[in-house]
Amino acid sequence: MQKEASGTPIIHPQTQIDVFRQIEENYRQLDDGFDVAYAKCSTAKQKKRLREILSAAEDAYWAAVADALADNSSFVMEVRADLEKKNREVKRHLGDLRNIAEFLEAAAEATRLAAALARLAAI
Amino acid sequence: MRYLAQYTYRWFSTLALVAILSAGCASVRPAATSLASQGGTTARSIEADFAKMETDLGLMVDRRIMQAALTGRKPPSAQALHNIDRVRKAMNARRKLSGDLARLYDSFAALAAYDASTEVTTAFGQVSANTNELATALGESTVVSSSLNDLAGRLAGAVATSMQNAKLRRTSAVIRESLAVVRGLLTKEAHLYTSVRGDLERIAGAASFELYRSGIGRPYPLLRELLNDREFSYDEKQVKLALERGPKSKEIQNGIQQIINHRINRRIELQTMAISGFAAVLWQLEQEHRAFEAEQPLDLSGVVERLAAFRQVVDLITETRPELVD
Repeated sequence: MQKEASGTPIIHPQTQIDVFRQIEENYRQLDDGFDVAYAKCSTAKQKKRLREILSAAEDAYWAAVADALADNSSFVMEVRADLEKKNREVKRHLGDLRNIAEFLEAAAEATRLAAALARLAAI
Repeated sequence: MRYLAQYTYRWFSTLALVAILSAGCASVRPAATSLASQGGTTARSIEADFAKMETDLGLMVDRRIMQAALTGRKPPSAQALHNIDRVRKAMNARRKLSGDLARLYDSFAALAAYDASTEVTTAFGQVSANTNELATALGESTVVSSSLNDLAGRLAGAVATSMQNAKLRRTSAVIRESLAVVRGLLTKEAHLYTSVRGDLERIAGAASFELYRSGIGRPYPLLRELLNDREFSYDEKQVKLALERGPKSKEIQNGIQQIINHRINRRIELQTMAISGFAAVLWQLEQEHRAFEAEQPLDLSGVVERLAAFRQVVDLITETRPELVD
C-alpha cells in the first residue's frame, strides 16, 4: 500500500467516500428500523442491546462526518488567510487609484497657495 | 515656418495619442460592477446556507433528545455531542470562508465603482487652472492654452481608465482562482453536506411526528393543503373530531406519516440539488470572469439562471416542510 511521508497509508478519496457511505447507511438503517425492532424486543436485555447498537452507530456516523470535515480544516484556514490577503491587495489597488487623484489634488492645493503668496508679494 | 510645422506636428501627434487612448480605453467598470454584483450574491447565498446548517445542527440535538425520550432510543452520547459540535464548527468555518469571498467581491465592486477617470480629469483641470492662476499672478502670460489643457485632461483621464481597467482585470483573475479553490472544496465535501442535511431533515420530521403522536401539534396545515378548497370547505372542528374519533382516524394518521416520509425524502433530494447547484454557479462565475479578463462581452444570464434555480430549490424545501405543529 502507498504511504505518506509520515507513514500513514494513503486512502483513495473514492474509498474514503465509500467507507463513509457504509457508516452512514448502517446508522440510517438502524435508526429507520428502530421503532419496529424495539417493539419486537421481548426482553429488557434485548432492548438495551438494540439501544446500544443504535447509539454506537450514531457515534460512528458523527465521528466520520467530523473527521472528514476536520481533514480539510487546515485547508479552509489557508484559503481564508489567502482570501483576506487578496482582499487587502484589492483594497490597495483602490488606494493606488485614489492616490493618483489625491496627488493631483495636493499639487492643486500647493499651486493655489503659491498663487496666493505671489499675489501677496505683488501688492 | 519650420517652427509652425513642428508645432502643428506636435499638436496632431497629441490629438492622435488622445484619440488612440480614448478609443482603446473604454472603461470596463460597468461589466465589473455586474460581475461583482452576481459574485457577491452567489457568495452570500452560500454563506446563508452554511449559516442555516450551523443553526439547524443546534436544534437537531434538542430534537434528538426529545425523540430519544419519546421512543426508547438513547439520547446522543457525549462523544456524539462532541462530534456534532466539531461539525457545527466546521460549518461555521465554511460560512466564514463564503463570507470572505463575499467581502472580496465587495472590494471588487468598490474598485469598479470608483470613477478614476473623472476624479483624475477634474483634479488635473484644477492643477492646470491653478498653474495658470499662478502664472497670471506672477505677471506672465497664460502658460497652457485652454484647448491643449482640455486635451491633456482627457489624456490624463484615459490613462486613469487604462490603469483602472488593468487593476480590475488583475483582480478578476485573482478572484477567479479563489472561486476554483472554493468550488473544489464544496465539490469534495458535497457528500458530507448532503448527508448532514439528510440527517437534519430526518430527525426534524421524526421528532415532529413523535410529538404529534404524543398529543402535541395538529396536522391542520397539512390537511387543509390536501383538501381541494374549490369543492370542499375546511372545517377545523370537523378535522379534530375525525382525527380523534372518526371512523378512519387510524388510516388518516398512517397517511399523514407516509406524506411526511415522502416530503422528507423529497427535501433530501432537493438539498442534494441545492449543494450541486452551488458548484455549478461558481463554475459559471469562473467562466464569466474569464470572459471579462479576455475583454469579451459578459453573459451573466447563466449565473442569474443558476442562482434563480437554487433559490427555487430553497423555496421548495421550505414549502415541503411538515406542518404538524399548529
